[in-house]
Formats: sequence, C-alpha cells, structure tokens
Amino acid sequence: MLERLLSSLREASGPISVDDLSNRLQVERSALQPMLDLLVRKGLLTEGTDVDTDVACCGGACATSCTGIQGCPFVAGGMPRTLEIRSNN
Amino acid sequence: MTGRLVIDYGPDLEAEIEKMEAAIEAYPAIRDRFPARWLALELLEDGDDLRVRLAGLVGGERVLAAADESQARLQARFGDTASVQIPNGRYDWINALVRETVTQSRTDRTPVSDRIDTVVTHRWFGLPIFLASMWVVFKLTVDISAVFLDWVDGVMGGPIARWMATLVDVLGLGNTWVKSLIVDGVVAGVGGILVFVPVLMALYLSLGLLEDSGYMARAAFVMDRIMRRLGLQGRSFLPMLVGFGCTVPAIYATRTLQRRRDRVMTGLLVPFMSCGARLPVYVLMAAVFFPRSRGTVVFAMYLLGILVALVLGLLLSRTVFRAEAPTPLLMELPPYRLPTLRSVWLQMWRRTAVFIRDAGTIILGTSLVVWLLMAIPTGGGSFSEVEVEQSAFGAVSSAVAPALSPAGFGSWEATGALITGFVAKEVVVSSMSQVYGVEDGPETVASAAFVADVQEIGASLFQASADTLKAIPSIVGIDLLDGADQARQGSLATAVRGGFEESSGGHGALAGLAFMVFVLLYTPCMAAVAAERHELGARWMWASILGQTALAWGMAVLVFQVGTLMGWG
Repeated sequence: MLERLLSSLREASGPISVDDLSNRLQVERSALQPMLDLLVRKGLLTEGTDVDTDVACCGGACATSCTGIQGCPFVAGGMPRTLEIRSNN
Repeated sequence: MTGRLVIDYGPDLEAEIEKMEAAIEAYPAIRDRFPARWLALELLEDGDDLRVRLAGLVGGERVLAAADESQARLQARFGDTASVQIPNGRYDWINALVRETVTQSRTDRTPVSDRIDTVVTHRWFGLPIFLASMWVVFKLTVDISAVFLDWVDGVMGGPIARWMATLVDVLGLGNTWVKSLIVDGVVAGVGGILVFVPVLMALYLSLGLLEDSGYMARAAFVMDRIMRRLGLQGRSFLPMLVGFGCTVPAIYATRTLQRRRDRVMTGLLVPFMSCGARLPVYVLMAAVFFPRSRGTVVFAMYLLGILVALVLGLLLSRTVFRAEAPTPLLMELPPYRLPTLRSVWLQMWRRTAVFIRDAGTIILGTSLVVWLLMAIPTGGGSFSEVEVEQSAFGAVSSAVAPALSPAGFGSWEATGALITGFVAKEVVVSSMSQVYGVEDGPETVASAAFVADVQEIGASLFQASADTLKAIPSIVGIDLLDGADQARQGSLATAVRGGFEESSGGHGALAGLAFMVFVLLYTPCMAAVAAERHELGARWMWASILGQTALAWGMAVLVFQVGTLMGWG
C-alpha cells in the first residue's frame, strides 16, 4: 500500500491532492493520513512547513524584528500542507 | 477467528524474519523476554529503544548484528523504501481485509467542497478563475478604498499638518529649520505614506477572505502546474504567494524547497511579486494617470510581475539552472469554509501593523535623511532655506536622472524618489510627497480652530463611508460617484502629473506607466537584499540587484519608447 502510494505520487504529472490520492488508491482519506505521517517520519516524504524559524523579519537590515517565518503575518495562513518525495540533492 | 495472527510479508522479508528468529531463539535471555517474530519485526523496522534494551542482554550484540545484516540485505533489495517494507506489508494486509469485509454504501452526493474543487482546480478553468479572483481583489482594493485614502489624505494634509505647525509655533520654533523638519520632513514623508493605509487594509482584507475561505490553497494548487513547466517545484509558488505581502519572509520561505537550485531560482524570482509596499506607488500613479481604470492598472502590474517571473524562470531553467525533473507535490487542501470576521480582521490588522510600524521606523528615518539632503545647499543659500533642486538631494538626483530619460521620467524628482526606494518601496511615495509637495506646506492654509478641525474630520469620515458604499458598484462599471475622482486629486497628484508630462515631452501617462514598471522590477528594499545575501549568498545577491535594476530599466524604456512610437499616451 505504501509503495503504491509512493508510485502514484512519482507518476503524477501534476500536483495531486490528498482527496485525489484517496480516490486513486481507493482508500479513505482518514486512513491515508497515518500512512503519509509514517512516510514523513521515515524520511521518504518531506513536509513544506519544515522551516527554521529563527530569522528576523527584515534580515536585520531595518530596526524591526519579528517572530520568524511561522509567526510572520505575511506567511499566508491558508496555505495547504504540502508533501513531496524527498530528493537526494 | 482463532489462533495467532500472522501477516505474510512476502518471500524477501519472510526470509530475513526467519534468520532473525533463529538468532533470537539461540539466546534464552532474549527469547524468554520477547516473542521472537515480534522482536524480529521490530528490529527490522528500526526499533531504537529495543536496541538499547537488547544491548544489555546476553546475546544482544549478536542479535543486533544479525538485524543489521538483514537490514543491509533489504536495503540492497528495496533501496530507499526498505524502511517501510514492514509497515507496507501490514497496510497491504489491512487493505485486503477491509476490501473483503467492509461494504461501502455508495453515496450519490459528492461533497460540496469536492464539487467546487472540480471547477476551481480544473486544468483549464483553474487559472482564469484565479486571475478573475485577483482582479476582483484589486478592483475592491483600489476603487473602494480610494475614498478612504482621500479622507486620510485630507486629514494628514489639513488638520494634522496644521496642528503640527501650530505646535512648533507655540514652542517658539516657528521661524527655525525645526518647522521645516517637522512639516516637510516628518509630516510630508511619514504622512505621505500613511495615507495609503486604507488601501493596504483593503488588500489584506480581501486576501484574508480568500485565505480563510480555503481558496488560496487552491490557487497554490493551480499554480503548481505552471511552476512545474518552468522546471520549478510546485512548492515554489508558496514563497511567491507570500511575496505579495512582503518579499523578505518570502525569500526566507524558500527554505521549504529541498534543492538548492530551486531555492536560488525561487529566491531570484520572488522579488518580482509585487509586495504591499509597492501598492502605494501603483495606486498613486494609477490615480494620477489612469483614474478611470486604476483598479485594472494596479491588477495589471501584479500580473506583469507574475509574467516576468514566469518568463525569467523559463529562461533560467533553460540556461543557468538546467531543469531537473521536479518532484511531484501532494497537497492537503483544507475544506472550504465561511471566513470568520475575527480571523480575517486579525490577519488584516497584523499585516497592516507591520506597514504602520515601518512608517514609524524605516520610513521616518529615510524621510529625515531625505529632508536633511534637501536642506543642505550645494550652490548658494543657507541650511533648510534652499530650493530642493539646488540641494544635495537635488544634485545627486540630477546626476542620475539622465540615465532614466529614455524611460520618460528622467526628472530629478522622480529619480530622487526611485533612489530612496532602494531603502524601501514605501519611501518612494513619501519622497515624492516631500519633493513634489514641498512648497505646499500648511503655512498656506488658513488656521482653523481645533474644534472645527475635529468636526471636519468627523464629517469627512461620514462622507467617506457613504462614498465607499457608492463606490462598490464601480466594480461592475457603474459609477455612482459621478466622476468625482478628478476633483479629489490633490496637489501631489497635480505636481506628479506636471512633472511627468514635462520630463516625457507630453507623454505623462506613458512615463507614469514606465515608472510603475520600474518600481515593480527593481530591487524591492534593503531588507530583501539582506535576506537574499543570507539565504542565497553574496554572489546571487549581487546578481539579483544588478539583474533587477537592468531589467527594470530595460522594461521601462521599452514601455515608454514603444508606447511613444505607437502613439499611445
């Protein structure tokens, strides 16, 4: 099942939503979620939110500071969780 | 079902499990504590805590060595996916069991969210829907908020400027350079940019509605396809979306990309997304030169930024950054929901607060530096009593101005504003307020009583609110304000129009458009430069500064020269 999941992702010609994947694999979305989490834990998928947060908003160039990427008001709040196959580069 | 449940993991895994079981059974200290098959499976699946426990038992080292050998063989057989072979077998077994035992009742009704998604994330309709949404956002932002912009402008240029001037007079500094510093430096500079707070609030409100509803996640999904065609990862669009708010966090957000090639390339393209700081420049110039279609013009600037990024991305991926196969992206799209007032308001306020905070720090600082440069005479005259053109600011700007003449805005005023724009884009408008509006101080305005001023502010706020409601139908082309735009244009607009008409030989609108293109494409701000150096390195930072400036100049010249040849503007 996990191999089929990874194959579906590798063979996708464009972006794929979790719902699409759920339909392709004929697996409930709720069942798919732990599989994705497992693949992230095993390092086969990477998550888009893995960002270091200790950066100043203005890179130290202006007299202001902020809480970093995760707390930044400009980092859009409604962004989807994104996962992709880990690249070796 | 009775008996022990045993999942068949296939011949390769079963062979290794068997070897492991044999190793475990050889040591009673281990065999008596753990079921052999369970332990074999756990060790093959990287049971780190078990490894610690086994290391202290007799035979533990031998069992662990056997586990390592088995894992090495599985690695050779299955490659990267070796570590998930056991859970894979388990999930296969569960899936087969579910298929055999669970009968799903077919539901004819597709969830509403899915039905909406089939349209908004459609391969062909998705992009036009995204563009149409953004067009509505900018129409709302620019057209509706313009009324409030005029109100804030009136308050800043009227009562506030008068109060500040009166305060300086009361302090006995009315005939000194301090009055010029306060009125021409602080009020003209910081006030000139704070005027645009309503526009930013409207933009962030609209974007907040789209984000909170779940649509922005779909926009990222739609844009992913385009990113892939450029050889970029789909995830590259997320920093670009952030770039519509501010370039600095957008550059830092490139850290989400796995490959350095993608990080550098996205970091170089992100500055072409129009950040909130550029919006005041667009709004001002569009209101001056394209008052009837300012919303569309502002939208076109945002679109042009995206197009430039796409074309440049395509070129870079064919030359400097040879395209490797982008990795496919899986997105977890949140369900659609009705935006909540609290969430949208908080988001809008937090973003606008950054702009206001900058007005009190970087813009105030730059305004004071600009005022100082404008107060220092280079020819005759004394400190703070000099024609701006004869000041240090005018001298530097005049020296650079000829380089911008082919773009139609080679005046020292416009050039000076662009030079200060290297610090931050908000400063472009505040500098224009200082250099164009410098003779338009409050001294010329008849003093009014404080109470009358407050009454005027209240009455004009009420009128602005009423006009805002009237402005809503303008989105569909119905003008209930009855062409009041022209009447509302202030002295800054008149001065800007006059200056651009003069520098362009009567092609003011074209020069204004070229100026907007220049502002869109050249270096966003010093903070963005620092972020580029931090994330991409000094070499790419310099490439970005020089490349953007050259591109900005080239595109602005192209717009003006082609437009003039074609007889536009």
